[in-house]
Amino acid sequence: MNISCAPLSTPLRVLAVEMQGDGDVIGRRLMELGFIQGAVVEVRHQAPFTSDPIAVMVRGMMVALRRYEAKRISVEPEAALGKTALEMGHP
Amino acid sequence: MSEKTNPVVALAGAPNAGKSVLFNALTGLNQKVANYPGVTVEKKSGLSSIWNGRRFLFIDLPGVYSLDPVSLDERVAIDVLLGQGIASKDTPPDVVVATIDASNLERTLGLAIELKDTGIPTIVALNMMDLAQRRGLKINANILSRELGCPVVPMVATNGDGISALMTKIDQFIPTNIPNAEGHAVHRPTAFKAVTSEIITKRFQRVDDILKKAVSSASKVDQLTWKIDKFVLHPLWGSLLLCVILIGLFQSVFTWAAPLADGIEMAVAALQGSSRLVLPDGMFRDLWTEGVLGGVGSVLVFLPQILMLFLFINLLEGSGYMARAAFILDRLMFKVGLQGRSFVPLLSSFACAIPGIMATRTIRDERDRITTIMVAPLITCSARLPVYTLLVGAFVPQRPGPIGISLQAWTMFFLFLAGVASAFLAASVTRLVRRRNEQTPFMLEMPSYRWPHWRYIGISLWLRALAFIKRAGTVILSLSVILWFLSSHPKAPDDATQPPIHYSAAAILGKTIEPLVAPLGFDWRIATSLVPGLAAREVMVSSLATVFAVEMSDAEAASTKTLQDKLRETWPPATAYALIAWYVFAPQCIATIATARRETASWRWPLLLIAYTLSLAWLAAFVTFRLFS
Repeated sequence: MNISCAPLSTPLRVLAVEMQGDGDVIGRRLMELGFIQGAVVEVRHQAPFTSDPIAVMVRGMMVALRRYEAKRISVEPEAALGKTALEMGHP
Repeated sequence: MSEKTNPVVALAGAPNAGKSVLFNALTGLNQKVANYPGVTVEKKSGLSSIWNGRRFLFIDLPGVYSLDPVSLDERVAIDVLLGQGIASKDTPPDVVVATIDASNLERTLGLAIELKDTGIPTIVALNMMDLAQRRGLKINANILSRELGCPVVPMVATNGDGISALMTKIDQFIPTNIPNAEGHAVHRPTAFKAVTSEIITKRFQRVDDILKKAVSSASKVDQLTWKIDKFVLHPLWGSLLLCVILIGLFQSVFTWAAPLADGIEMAVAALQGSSRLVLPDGMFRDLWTEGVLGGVGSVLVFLPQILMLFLFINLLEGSGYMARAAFILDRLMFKVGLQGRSFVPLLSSFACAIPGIMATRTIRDERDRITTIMVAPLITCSARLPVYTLLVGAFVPQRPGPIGISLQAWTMFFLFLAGVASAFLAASVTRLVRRRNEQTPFMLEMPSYRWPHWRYIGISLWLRALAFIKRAGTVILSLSVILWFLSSHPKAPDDATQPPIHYSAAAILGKTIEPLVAPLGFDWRIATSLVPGLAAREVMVSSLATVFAVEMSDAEAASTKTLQDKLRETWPPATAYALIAWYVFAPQCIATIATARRETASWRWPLLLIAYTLSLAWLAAFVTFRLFS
């Protein structure tokens, strides 16, 4: 599942960020914002009417992403691993 | 004191880490804003007050997430730190202060580690300790300092806590006996490795390791921000709130600024009046009263409105709301070829396109930035208002229209709407030209809500006012003088039967371009007043008055009324409507073109801007004229 179709207010664990080649600015920036493997994130808000962009809580900060950017981030429900949201960012 | 002899301290940090507030706290009003050579990235620098016998030159670098640049302003920040590329001619910093947000170390500590690893002497300013307390964090600065291997100064830049501790540390870090400029930057950092996903992951792991040791309670989510956001970002309430904020903003900008603007207008008029009495009759008196005072005064009148608008923009930005507005509006803006970050520039353009165009610097994508610059001048700026007021007052009947609002008010509303709609339409065209599904990076951080910082807002408004006055005193002053000369020379012959302007170079110019605007129902008199209107749109009103030889020395209201009567006698309504339509689009402002030139660093975009707005104006006026005649 990628994060753009994840349910609201549900802890999610990041599996990977799809990188498209070396000069992939978007992929690198997503990682620098904290979307790294194992990080626990949560979709908190959607923009009115079109539900795009979405606002994601990652490493203690709310980050707005357009859905096409969010599609790069694959996640799974955090509960599947039986961890708590406090262990954010640890693989 | 020459800047060369002062030790240089660079402030680096992520966006929203409070770097600009810290910069203001360190330098006060001793700051200079310039551009880095060859690029449109703002360079803010300023001297500190004397500390232990010397001053430090602070440079406020553009915000960076990491030392691996993605955008132009990040490139500049990193080049300054390394003393290479764009900033290679600049003095490299002796010390870098890594400004990090204590309430959000998970995100901001990584940059401090990176900076330390480059070998540049680094001091960490652990800012926003108050927010960290609000989030229940207990941070041990000593452990943090030991783990990082550099001094860590806890502080709250907004109320000055920790500023002197930071200055002491900076002072200790820089040897006192710097002989000359060559003594600077003995520490030459090594070049950075290309950043891979492994490096980013490792960096975050190191951050988490340090935080486990230095921070005693786990980060709680900022409950206050979360609660506010539930309302502000609610699909329905959030959209309504945005509408209310925008309506309230326009309402208050126009009502509250009006008395101040009237005051400036009266002061200029009084100055003109007394100059006429005091100075001997002649060319110098005319130049001073009409050219200098008239020209500069007509622009200064807009200062209150512009400052009021910027006060609101600063409040919205400082509180953290602006990022939310960009979030709500991004989709709409994207549909028309813009993005959420275009919101602030377009909002500013209601006061004046110049600050609007300058505000596009925050748009990271170059194409989105150019598009925003190209459409900002279509937004109804305050300089169009006097012209609209004159023409709508004269040619739109004063009777109630739909839902009890007068026809004139409806017309004004429609004209504002036409500005926004045309800007969106023009931007949509660029979306067609660009590849259809091409997406640009958005990725916007939404900072925690906080109280706006009054001192910071005060300083930024003051600098804004100074810059505006400086521009009015240079560019606008020289343009006004040139246009005054054109409209008053050559002098009328002694046996003149017409007002002097009929014999001037401006009139000759007006008659020359008359054939071009004749299909729009414009005669040479309108063409003539379009010429001085180039300096500032609202000058059109006074030049129309001059052309129609209306006595303007009466009270302003009376004379406007006389001019309106005169226009009604002379023009068919179709001509007036066509002129209004012209004003919706026309590139009638040299200063805007000059700003577009400076901000795009090329002639290509400003020339295209002139060409397309001029064509739009001509077409709109033509269609309007045909429809009504």
